[in-house]
Amino acid sequence: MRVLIHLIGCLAMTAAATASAENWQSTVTEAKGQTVYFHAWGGDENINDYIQWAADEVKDQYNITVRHVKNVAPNAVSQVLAEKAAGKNSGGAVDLIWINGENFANMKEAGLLYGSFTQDLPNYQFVDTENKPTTLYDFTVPVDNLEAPWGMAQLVFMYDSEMVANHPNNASELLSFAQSNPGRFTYPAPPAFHGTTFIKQILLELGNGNEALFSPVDQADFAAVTAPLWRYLDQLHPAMWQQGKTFTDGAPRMKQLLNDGEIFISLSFNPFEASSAIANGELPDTIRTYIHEAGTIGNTHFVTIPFNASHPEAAMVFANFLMSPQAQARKANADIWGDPTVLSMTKLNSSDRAVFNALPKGIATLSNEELANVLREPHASWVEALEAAWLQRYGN
Amino acid sequence: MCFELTDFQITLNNEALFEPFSLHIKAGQIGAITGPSGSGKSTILSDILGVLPAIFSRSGNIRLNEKDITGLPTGQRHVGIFFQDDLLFPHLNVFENLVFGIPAKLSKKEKAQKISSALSHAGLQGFEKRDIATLSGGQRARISLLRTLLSEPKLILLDEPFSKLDEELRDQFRSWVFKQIQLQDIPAVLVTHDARDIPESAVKIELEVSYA
Amino acid sequence: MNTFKRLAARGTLFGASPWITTSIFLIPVVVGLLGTWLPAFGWLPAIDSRRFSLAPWQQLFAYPGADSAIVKTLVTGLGASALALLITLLILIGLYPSKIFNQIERSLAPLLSMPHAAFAIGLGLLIMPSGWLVRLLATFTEALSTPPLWTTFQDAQGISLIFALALKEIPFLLFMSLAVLPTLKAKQTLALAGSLGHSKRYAWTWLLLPRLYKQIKLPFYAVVAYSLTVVDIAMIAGPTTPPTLAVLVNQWFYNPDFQYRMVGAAGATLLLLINVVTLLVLHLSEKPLEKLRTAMLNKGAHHRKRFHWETPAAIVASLSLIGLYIASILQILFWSFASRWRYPDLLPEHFSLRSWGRIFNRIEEPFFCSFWLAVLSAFIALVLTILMLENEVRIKQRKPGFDAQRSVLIVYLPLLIPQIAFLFGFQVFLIQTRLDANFYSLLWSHCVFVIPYVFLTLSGPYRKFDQRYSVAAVTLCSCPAKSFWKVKFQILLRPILYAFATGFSVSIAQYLPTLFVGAGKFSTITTEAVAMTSGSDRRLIAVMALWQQILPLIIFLLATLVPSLLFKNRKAMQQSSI
Repeated sequence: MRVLIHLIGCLAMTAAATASAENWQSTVTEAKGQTVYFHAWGGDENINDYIQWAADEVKDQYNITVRHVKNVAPNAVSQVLAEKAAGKNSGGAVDLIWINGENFANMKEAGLLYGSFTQDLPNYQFVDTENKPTTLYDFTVPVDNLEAPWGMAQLVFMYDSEMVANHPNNASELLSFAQSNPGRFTYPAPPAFHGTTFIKQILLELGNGNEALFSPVDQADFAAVTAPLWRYLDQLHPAMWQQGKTFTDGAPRMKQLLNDGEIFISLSFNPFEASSAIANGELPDTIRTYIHEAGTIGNTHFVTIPFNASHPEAAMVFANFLMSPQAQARKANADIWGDPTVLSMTKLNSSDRAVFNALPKGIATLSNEELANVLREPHASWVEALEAAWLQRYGN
Repeated sequence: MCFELTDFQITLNNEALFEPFSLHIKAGQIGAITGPSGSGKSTILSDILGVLPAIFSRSGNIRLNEKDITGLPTGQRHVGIFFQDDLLFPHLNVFENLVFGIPAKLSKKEKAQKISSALSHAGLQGFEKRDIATLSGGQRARISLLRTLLSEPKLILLDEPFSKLDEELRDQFRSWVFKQIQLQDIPAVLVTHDARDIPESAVKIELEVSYA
Repeated sequence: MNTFKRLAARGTLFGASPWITTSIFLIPVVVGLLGTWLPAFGWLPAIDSRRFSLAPWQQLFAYPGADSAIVKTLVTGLGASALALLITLLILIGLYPSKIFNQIERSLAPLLSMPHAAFAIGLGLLIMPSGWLVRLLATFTEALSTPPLWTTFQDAQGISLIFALALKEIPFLLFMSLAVLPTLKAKQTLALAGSLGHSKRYAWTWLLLPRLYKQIKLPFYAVVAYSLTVVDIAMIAGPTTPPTLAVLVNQWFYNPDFQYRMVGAAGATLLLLINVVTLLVLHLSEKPLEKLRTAMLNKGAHHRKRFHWETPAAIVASLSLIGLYIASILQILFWSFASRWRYPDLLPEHFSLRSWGRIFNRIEEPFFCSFWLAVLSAFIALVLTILMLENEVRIKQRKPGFDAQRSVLIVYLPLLIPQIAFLFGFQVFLIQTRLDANFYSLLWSHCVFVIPYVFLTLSGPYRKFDQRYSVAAVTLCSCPAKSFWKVKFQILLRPILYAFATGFSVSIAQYLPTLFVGAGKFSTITTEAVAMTSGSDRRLIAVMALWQQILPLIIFLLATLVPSLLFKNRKAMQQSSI
């Protein structure tokens, strides 16, 4: 009986694979000559160049035109929302959005997404869903094949080794560093993404794996769970840049301050960022990175298709290309962009693996082993509660 | 050439500004309208020009050369006006100011000749290229009148033409103006509050303010 | 009635112009305002919120720091406007007319063409604790080997924001004053007052300033409205916890949680209210102030001729102004050619063309898109503005007591509300009518923001024009068209070109309309520049800022040079000599 079920299962899978291969072929045919409006943050010329390269590739390979709209995620979401409000259910202006986290969660909830599609993308099979669970859970929200994994992110600290002899290894060492070097550390004010991530990181470290953080916030004693965090921040802020009275609006601004020498330690969500910034002259070559010994928060960023995309087929072909070993390897090259791959090395063939292994890592990038220590995100509901509480305390 | 106003009266909100009057002047003749300020002297000129504000209304006729002109737009009445301010165009030089009103049918050369002879008549020989801003008040006044005359109006209106000139210049300029009008051989309507500005030969109208 | 018909027939185009303009405005303004007000009271069908409530307002006022944000908005907005006005007047009192003033006049074009955000960034690079001025100090002392822990930029009180805004607005107010100074006959008044034994200060304070203020009142109101609603400069130079209300509204709209859009809409409505009340107070305080002035004048408030401190103060103010601009633009210029530049180096370690090269191959498309949008919207705005103002002349001829000012207030509405709130409703409307994502709609949206500036730049001098010139011209040449083009248009050429240049640069600076109405299908220099500014690479930010400045700079230079050259030999047409 069990054998039979297994057999039927296998048959079904093969049939499904053939069917999906055929489907994919028709998708590719359909996509020919279409234009994809890809809304993606355009603040980094390395990334812009990379997107341009990818656009040129799919033009050659699939005859698809990709137009990079240098937009910020909420604006693209706003566009889709406006189209939904106006009843425009097809022919939308956005074909593909670079997205993750809350924006994804909200689009999913508001029914603004195209539907599951990643299971049909041939390159999806190489994604490391086993060891990179955030490719399946975006800020703990199930991805449900609604968005295609594009790259990995992990919180790392960048520091100037000329100014900091021994970098902190945990939250409390960071506090002592700040207190003995007043004004030389800061973090962006929540709800800026890096700021919220930083306070989640501190909360996770101080909470020492408190299980309450991984369940919805309304099931926990918020005040008790977060008390150590506020105690910590109350001590940290007076020792921060501008005595914690002024915050930066995001990581890009902190990177500038690090170069200026106003701060000695900064944050990044990309382990390669320091190396690639050194390579292009944005940061001095004394910058290095570290993570806390308890590990740091990591996640995945994705591309997704809105419900009313004009050219979903071409968007899928492009999303599939972005997940290809060729595109992922180029993206992971610190000289080009330096964005960790979502693919699993064990699922790749040996020649593709060799390409990845040969990639330059850059002088400031930690090894894979050092980075292996990834912390789980708290349950998504904590984000808003933490932001609100933070604003209540420090926002006025 | 002749100009006539018959049973002419202007009212504002159903109240007449002055008692009705008639005026008939021939070419070369000057009709002088005097009256206290507020009696509507300048309003009469606005009406003859065709720019009477709509809050006023008129009864009576305005006829130029036997033709009723009340229905015509300003540009087609062929009425020239000379204000107390010279209103020379500041962005044009003397020549360009003068050529502005000369009928287009004349050739370039004819226009230049006309201007040059007009200027020398006025004692301003060779002033063609001068910037308006560099001229004296008297020179500007003369050029302004020349400009009006060169546009060959069939009637010329003079609105307090001498009130801004100083005493000495005034007498001199006044007789020059009347001489020019005679030379041009057109009727003229002069509005003034100063009896000294009115030549002997003028047809005089003194407005009687009507009190309702 | 007959007269009316005749006039109406003669001036169909003029008569229609307010209607054309109004309809250009009415649709976006009405849908924009509805799109702001309905969500402010809980109506946002896009997220299935279909019940009117005051919840967004409760959320707004309960939001941490909301009250403090409102206070900061008022302090920085009013502080910056007042400071800008005072310094503008100081420069006029102290230096007009003089050779130095002519120099300042000549430097206005480059100052005006500098993009707001770029100026704020340049100013920051100059005065922040690791900025160029501290680096200069650091060359003298060892103590500054690392950037000092001072607060010189983005202070929590908003002082640096006040300065950044004021510095950006002074050139605009000076520019607006220049266009009307000739009509005030300032030189003659000053000479007359002098001959009566009054000081220059007396003549300015009691005779000229009140008239000047009346002339530049609308531009000043625009400055007030701008300072209260500005987002980009406030994000760069302003306080952060909390920021000003406009920035907060922006943050709410960018909050991934759609519920916050309604809070944002309430915030935008509140900002509109603050704006209207502020302007109303300014307007209503005019009469009492005027009475006070007359009373003091009659009492014989007499300044004896004593030390005239305004002149040295004005010299210091204008030199600092120009100095700060030059230094800011140099910061941007150096960064654009830098390869590496760290504290405490006064100059970049190496210079390179790399950043320019990286941008160069993708600049063409946005460059021409910006250019055409700006030329067309400024031109349309100019034509409509002139038609409306000519229509006013015609109405005034019929009804001498007509208050023209009031009839065009709607034109200014788009300036009083943050764009992000206003544009969402307009965007939905365009999508519903399937007019979205095409060039003409985009042009339309630019016109909505360009026309107010063109109108307020031109209306002052245009209304001051001595209409007797036109009457004289028509009686001379019998041709209304010739009399308009050859006389009125040319005498007003300078303010007309200024208005065009202002409209042009306003269009160049539009970001959100391009994004929202263009649906991302059109990229302009400014969308590219803003995208770059959201990143960290100062070198590329600098290159984009310079690209953004090039077009307005050329247009402003032309607007100042062309009349000067055309009327080179016409003394009365030279700005400063009247």
